[in-house]
Amino acid sequence: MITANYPITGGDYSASGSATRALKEQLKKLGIEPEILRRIMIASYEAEMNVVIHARRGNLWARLSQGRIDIEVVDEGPGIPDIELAMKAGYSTASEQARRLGFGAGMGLPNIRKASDLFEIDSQVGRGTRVRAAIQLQKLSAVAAPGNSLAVREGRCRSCLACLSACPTRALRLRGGRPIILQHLCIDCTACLAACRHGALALRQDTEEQPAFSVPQGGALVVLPLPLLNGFPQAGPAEVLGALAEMGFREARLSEEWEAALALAALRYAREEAERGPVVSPVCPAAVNLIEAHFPSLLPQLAPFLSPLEAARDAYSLHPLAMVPACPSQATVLHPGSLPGRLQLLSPARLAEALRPLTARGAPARPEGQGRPEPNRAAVEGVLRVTGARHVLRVLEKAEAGALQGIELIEPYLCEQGCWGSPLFPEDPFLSRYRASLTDGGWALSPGAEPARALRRVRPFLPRSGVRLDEDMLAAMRKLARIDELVRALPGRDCGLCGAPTCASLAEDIVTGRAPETGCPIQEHPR
Amino acid sequence: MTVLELAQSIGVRVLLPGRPGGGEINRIYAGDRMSDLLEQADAETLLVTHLANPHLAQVAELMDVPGICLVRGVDPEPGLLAAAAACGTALLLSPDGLRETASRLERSLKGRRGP
Repeated sequence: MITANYPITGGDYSASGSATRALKEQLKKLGIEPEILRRIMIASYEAEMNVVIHARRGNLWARLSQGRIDIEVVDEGPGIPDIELAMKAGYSTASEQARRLGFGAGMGLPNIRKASDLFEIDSQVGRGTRVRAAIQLQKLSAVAAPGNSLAVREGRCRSCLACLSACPTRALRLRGGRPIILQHLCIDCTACLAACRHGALALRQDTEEQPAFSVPQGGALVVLPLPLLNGFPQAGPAEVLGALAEMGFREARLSEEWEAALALAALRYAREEAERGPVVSPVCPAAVNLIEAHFPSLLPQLAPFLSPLEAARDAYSLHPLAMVPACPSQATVLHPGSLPGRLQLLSPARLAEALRPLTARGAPARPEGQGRPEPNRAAVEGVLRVTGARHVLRVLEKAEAGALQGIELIEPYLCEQGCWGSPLFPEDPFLSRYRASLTDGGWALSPGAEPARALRRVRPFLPRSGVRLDEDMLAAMRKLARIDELVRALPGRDCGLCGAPTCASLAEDIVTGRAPETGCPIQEHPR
Repeated sequence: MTVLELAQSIGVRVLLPGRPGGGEINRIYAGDRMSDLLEQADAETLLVTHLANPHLAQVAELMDVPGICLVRGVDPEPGLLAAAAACGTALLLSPDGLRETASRLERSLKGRRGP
């Protein structure tokens, strides 16, 4: 991530435009397409001039990450009493001086919104206004499968085939005595991890040599999932937080805070904005991957928000931060490589390992503070919370067929029991959940911290291109016919002995060149 | 058609020639609101406006506008000439009003491009 900050002085028309000019100089070095640069300039200049015209002072922040630019202009000024009115083209409260110069025509905010892929504004009367505009730096088309965070631990596989049948998208093959992950089919869930009793599949961070974990000088914030706070038999949340403080973390927050914020925002979106329902919450990145790969017709129904951990990361984009993903898909969306030195990903196993000795010897508990989000949210009418790959698949099929009457919002979690059930947590979900239900919020959790907010996403959800049999539709149809022919010829036992989970998967592997024509051991050696 | 060719074709005064070789113009946009000028400007647009303050040069610089044509023979405000010179924007001055200047420029541009 590249971050730049430009101060703006209110009322100083002689220096106005200098922040946007300085930003342009930086952006020119990146070779951004002229049309996209034009939109960035419009958003930035209009936001900067709003500070000059209306406020005492302000700051323009520009952040470049993951193929987009975020421009945030925060000012100290009178604030806007009625944002809806301020957004109307032609409405202005600018001074006579501004109008004489050609400004103050009431087109600034509408222009920013028009130029941006994402636009947000909030304001407090008497305090100031914050405008955020984000613009995607590249034109988008169907995307290839992103990398995933699952990895194979060499030497562990016993060829038991359990992972093959567990994978909901049939993305695993067994070749040469080890699992192979087909990237274009893998949705980064935890089904294979949960099924493997030998530890042959793991979170990538747990299979690679990692530098020793260290909290940066001055401390860091850690965002971790609630099940980890309740994952130690001898220590409650207060003791675990005490241990985190002893490790050097100055503040700890829970992923569930952003999950709760997303739940509210997605429901509001479903009720007030969505053109088509039921809306699907992007709460679980693996479920989003599943929809992008296998349910493209549901893409318009995904609520346009970042996943909870992405929103947490963006909320602390300028701070040293450690994040504990609950699953591979959360680790993948966080992209630590884009924030070198600032964001560290800690696997639950690594954090648990670091915490275990501290909690065992009894780190001092954190004093009482504000409460925690409810671990067991009560059912809300119109909201369908569905967990576990098998159930999510079934519900999405029904949604695709338009057979979910009365459901406004689907919250799909690929893990059984939601994130609580991730096999990456050291404790059984029923036990950690039980312990969580016994605590009453009598432990500290970043008192005074900004409340978690759901964030709108800039990059739209896109279908995955890799799932197609061929870029050429006629060639794809020929391949499909050949697959059909092969499936009819194969035994149909779905035994997995060939290394593919089903006979249909083997047929597809043969047609796409991933397996030889003689791939079926039953056909080759019939008994 | 370059800014200078366009200026010559309708006989307006060239206060500043802009970048060497002159920018290529494919579109004329006339307006008096800074937000409209900003939103409509691009690297092939000649802006025509009653405004004559240095902020015009800022907009031109940010949007890579090759030239600005002032109207009604107005004197550029102090700072506009220097700012436009610094960012290589051509500055033209028409004795006519906004609408008439824009129409003449547009006709000239279309005449050169053909119907």
